[in-house]
Amino acid sequence: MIFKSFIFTGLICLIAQIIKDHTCLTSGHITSLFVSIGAFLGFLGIYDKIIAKVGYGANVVIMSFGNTLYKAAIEEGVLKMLGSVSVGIVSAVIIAFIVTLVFKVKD
Amino acid sequence: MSYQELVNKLTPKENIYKNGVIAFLSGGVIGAISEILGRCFGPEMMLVIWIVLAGILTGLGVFDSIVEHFKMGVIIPITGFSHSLTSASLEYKKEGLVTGIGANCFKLAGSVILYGIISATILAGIRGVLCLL
Repeated sequence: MIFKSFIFTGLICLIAQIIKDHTCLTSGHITSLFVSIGAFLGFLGIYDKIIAKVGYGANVVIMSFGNTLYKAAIEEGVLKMLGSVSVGIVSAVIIAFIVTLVFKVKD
Repeated sequence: MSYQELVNKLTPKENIYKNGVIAFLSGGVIGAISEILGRCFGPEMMLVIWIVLAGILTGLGVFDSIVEHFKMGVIIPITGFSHSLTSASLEYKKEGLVTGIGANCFKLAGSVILYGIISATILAGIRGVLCLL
C-alpha cells in the first residue's frame, strides 16, 4: 500500500504540474479544479474504490476533500456536508491563527 | 527585436520535464508518508499532522522555498491548503486582527471550500433527480 500511495499521489501531482506548466492557470485554479474533479469522481462512485485500493495516499490529496463533501451531502444532507471535512478546516484555521500571532512575515 | 521577443528571450525557461519528475517524486513521498501516518494514527490525525506541519513551516518562512523546489507536489496534498490559509493570514497580519487576518485568511483557501461545496451540491442534486427517474 505504501508503494501504491506513492504512485497515486505522485501521479496526481504530476498531472497538476503538467496543467500548471502548459496553461496559464494558477495553483489556486488547479486546486479548485481538483476539488471539483474529486467530487465528480465521488459522484461516479470511483473515488471510494481508489481509496480502498490505494490507501491513505488517496486521502491526502485535495481531491479527497471534494469526494468527502459529496459523500456527506448525499448521506447527511446538503446542508450538513461540512461535518465530515471540519477536522481539516478547523485544524487549518487554528494553526493558521496561532502561527500568524507567533511568527513575523519573512521578506 | 520587438519587446515581446526580448521578454521571451530573457525569461528563464523552466524545464517542464524536470518539474514533472520533481512533482511526481515529492507528491509520491508525501503519499507514502501519509500511508505510514494513516496506519499509525488514523486518517484524520494524518491530515492534522500534515496541516500543523505545513502551517508551522509556513510561519518559519521555509514553506515558500519548499514550494519553489517541489512545485505542485506539495500544493495538491492537504499541505497546500494549510499553506494557503497560513500564508494569507501572515501576509495581512499588519492590517490588524479583523480587517487583516480575519478578512483575508480565506483569501486563497476559500476557493477550495467554495467550489467543493458548489460541486457537491450540484452533483448531489443531479443524483437526487436521477434517483427519482
